[in-house]
Amino acid sequence: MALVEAKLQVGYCSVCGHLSAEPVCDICRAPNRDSKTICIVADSRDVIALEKTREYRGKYHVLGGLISPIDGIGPEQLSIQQLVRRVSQQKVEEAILAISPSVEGETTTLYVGHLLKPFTRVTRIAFGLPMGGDLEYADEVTLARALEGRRDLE
Amino acid sequence: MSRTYKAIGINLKATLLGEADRVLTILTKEHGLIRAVAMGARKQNSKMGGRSGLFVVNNLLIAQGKTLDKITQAETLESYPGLGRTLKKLTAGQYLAELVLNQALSEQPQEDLFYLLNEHLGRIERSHDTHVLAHLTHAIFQLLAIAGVAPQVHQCCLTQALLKPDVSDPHWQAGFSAIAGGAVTLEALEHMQAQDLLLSARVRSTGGEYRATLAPTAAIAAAPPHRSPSPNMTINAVELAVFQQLAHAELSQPSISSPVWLALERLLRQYAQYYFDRPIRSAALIDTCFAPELSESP
Repeated sequence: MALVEAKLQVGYCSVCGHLSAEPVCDICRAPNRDSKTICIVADSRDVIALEKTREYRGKYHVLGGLISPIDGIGPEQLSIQQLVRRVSQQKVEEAILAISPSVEGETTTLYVGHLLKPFTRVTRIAFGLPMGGDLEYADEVTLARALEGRRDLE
Repeated sequence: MSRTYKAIGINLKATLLGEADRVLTILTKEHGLIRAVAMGARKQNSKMGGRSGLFVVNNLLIAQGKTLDKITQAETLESYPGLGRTLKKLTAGQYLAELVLNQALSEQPQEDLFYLLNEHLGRIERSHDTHVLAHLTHAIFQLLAIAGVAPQVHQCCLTQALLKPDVSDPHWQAGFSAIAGGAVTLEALEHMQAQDLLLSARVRSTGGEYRATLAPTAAIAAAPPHRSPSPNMTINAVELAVFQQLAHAELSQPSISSPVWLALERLLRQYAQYYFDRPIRSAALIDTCFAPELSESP
């Protein structure tokens, strides 16, 4: 019964596409959050993971999946149009792409990044070695990406 | 006791399984196309994480299972990080992966296909962004050739007349028909079209009863979209001349204008879809990436 009720009550936020019991979710309604920064994620679970960090105080946009041409999932099946409209109409100063570094994730990142660049600064989260992980146990692909994404010491 | 075997393979497709696993479709040199589970590959600390990515070549140790094989060890031999730098390269790579998935066989060695795919992925990775479409078109032709279904472009498929494109004549044209098997002379194309019209009229007049006995061209109307190549396609002299060069191992004119490559890619796509009897879904993104307005972008 509770599950049925939850299913009936929970929908998608009309602004960001995150799961919400209200038409507009708590994050989009929060006045103390930075509306000039949007973090773009593939799934609502990614919002929850990022919220746990307590580092990010901006807003989100949930795409609802990843572009996967081989599976027949194209850009038109994701909420990319809404995102471009949102970024172009609001005064967004930075769009952060927080998407998994898989081939589908890379495709989505490059595609969305290309569309957003005329309107705002586009960044993506770093990837490489996990915290607490030993260098010697890292696989070759991850290590190569970590080397590629190296940055100057402050 | 489970049996194990070794293989060198490139990951072509990955699907999620359960909480943290990934099912990989791998083209191996020794055993052709296999499906195997990479246990825990989606976990943050898994050593299989990076190794289970697409276009990564691994030396694998695989345990045979009842339904799915299981990867027990993997050592990366090659990956193509440059493919992920631009959308064009990434899309081209996925297109080739899908084409190989359509043509690769299971349970038999696919060494030539494996090396050919790796060679072309490497070329696309190293190529300048403006040459990606040329390298992709070349790779598609070569993959079709290794499958034994490359279109015939030096002789008319119907009359066997030699086709010599006159690049100095802007009005020179030839036909192209996937059903016929490649390039045809204009006269042969017109003859085919006339036959099509006649046969489709007979289909209509008999309420479709002739469908089973019709020549392949007349079955177009009844075929799904990816199996219904337009019967009246024409190609100009430059397109046919470039087409005739695609059988060579090295690409001689990658800097030729992109509309020519776009036209050839579309012809080959239709041709491949017809022969493999399934749509190439990655191609939809090719249209977006290589549309004239995007082709100027970095």
